[in-house]
Amino acid sequence: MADVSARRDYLSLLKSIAGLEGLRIIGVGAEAMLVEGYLGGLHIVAKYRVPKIYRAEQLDARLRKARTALEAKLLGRAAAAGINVPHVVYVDVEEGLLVLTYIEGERMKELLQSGCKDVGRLASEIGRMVGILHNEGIIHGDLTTSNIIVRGGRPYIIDFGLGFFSYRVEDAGVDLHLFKRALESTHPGLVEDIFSSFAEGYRSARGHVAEEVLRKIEEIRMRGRYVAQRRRKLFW
Amino acid sequence: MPLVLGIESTAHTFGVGIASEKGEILANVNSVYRPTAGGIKPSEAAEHHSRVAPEVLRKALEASGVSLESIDAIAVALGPGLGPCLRVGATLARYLASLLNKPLVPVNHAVAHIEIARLSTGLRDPVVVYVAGGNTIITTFVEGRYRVFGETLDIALGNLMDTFARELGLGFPGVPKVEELAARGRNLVPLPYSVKGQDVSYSGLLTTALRLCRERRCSLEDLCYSLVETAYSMLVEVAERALAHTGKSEVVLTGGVARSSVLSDKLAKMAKARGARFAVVDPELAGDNGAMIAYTGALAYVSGLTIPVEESRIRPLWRLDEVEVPWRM
Repeated sequence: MADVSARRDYLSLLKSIAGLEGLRIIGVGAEAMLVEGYLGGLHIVAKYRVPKIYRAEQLDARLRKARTALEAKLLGRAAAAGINVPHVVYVDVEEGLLVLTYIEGERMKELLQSGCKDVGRLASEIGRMVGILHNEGIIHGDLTTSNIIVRGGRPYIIDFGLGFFSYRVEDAGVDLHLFKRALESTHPGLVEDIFSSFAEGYRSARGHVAEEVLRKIEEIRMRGRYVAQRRRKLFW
Repeated sequence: MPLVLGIESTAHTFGVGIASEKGEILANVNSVYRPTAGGIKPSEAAEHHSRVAPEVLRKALEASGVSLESIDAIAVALGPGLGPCLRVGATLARYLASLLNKPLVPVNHAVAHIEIARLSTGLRDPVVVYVAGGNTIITTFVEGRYRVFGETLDIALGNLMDTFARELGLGFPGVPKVEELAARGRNLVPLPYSVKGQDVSYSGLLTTALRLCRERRCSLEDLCYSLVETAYSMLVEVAERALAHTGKSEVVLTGGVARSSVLSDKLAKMAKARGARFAVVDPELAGDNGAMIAYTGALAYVSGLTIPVEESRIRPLWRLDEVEVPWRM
């Protein structure tokens, strides 16, 4: 990758903004850079939305600010609802910086791939958590087994970067549809087991609304991008 | 060296190209239907295609210096596209294949845009940004097919620009007209920036831009500048997501809107920041054309992909990711 020098600049910028120590880049996504470090002895992860030089400065600043603020709000609201998520330690919306507590543990993805015995209970607990989030009008937007960390037998949901607030059944349905699709591509053999336990947990949190949302999944699949009917107006 | 004659007629362009699978393009003759008012009318476009077909075919043969008899196969874009238009190309292709007793090769129009871009830029395994009047797709080759990583959820980028330009009386095609005004814009007006995961949505952007224009809430230059900035940045963002997700190291821009230097500048900046190579398809081969069908047809032909005339029905909704791409295996 190019621009190593530029990345070092980000690190010093992070240091000066929040007084972070022991910084180490752990991931460079399309939108943000993830940096692990310590803040006064607390193990943290800093999510830094990198300025994009291809966007007009005004537009870039507006987007980074809005997205950082939204993610912080979603995490705050989720935590207040009693859901295991990283805690917001520090926010600088102008710089697009979000500092969160680091969740030590194993990703659900690897846990499943190494043959976890506790799948049913975990999936049900995750379903319950997502149900509570939806009750609170929080749509995660990117539910995958990479975004669930298991610590001491308890699942934590991370990365609300694509999340938003909505009470619509449609949006909740899309959230579950994406989760199911992620299971299909990452754990094809376990989809039915995981999803049925997940749905059971989801029902326990949402009551009769749950059925409506679960029914939506099939409808959404039918109009998904791999189904010809939806394409009618797009291809010339 | 097999020579393939390719016929394009998916939308407003009727084209005939002659090419080999090595990428030699012997002819590329195209005629574009221009609506007198409003947008493309499928039946009128098809009429145009029927009218110009003999002349375009004759010119292509003349340019190539080869005779019809020395052509090895006839390729045709069977879709995706507008039914009435597709039928013109398909009819001519079936006729030629039957008359000359040559194999018929079905070509997917989107795959052709991708292959001609790879040929023209020399990039081997890029993330492809395919933008045109009717398509906005981010795709790359994974396990035997071009998989769609992101696309528009409603209208295409070219469609957005064309419709906006038409409503304002700026003329067709929309992209150069809007960009010309945009170059003189200074202030960014807030417009809906709609990226949903890997996908983009342009319809809200069009509605808002047209409303701001009607209400004269800002100068036309500023509005065009904001429209271009917003629409292109959305596209570059999803292209970057595809690049990060697939770990590929090349990006290519293809399709009619590839002629936009504003868009290619933005993609180049993004690619550079990620350490990826970036290139744009030759402007001559950016819009719909016969050569890309001929070349892709030649690739398919040497891989043994031919169909009998009876099975050459048009496929108006033929998805890119349904197509097997054996020549890249």
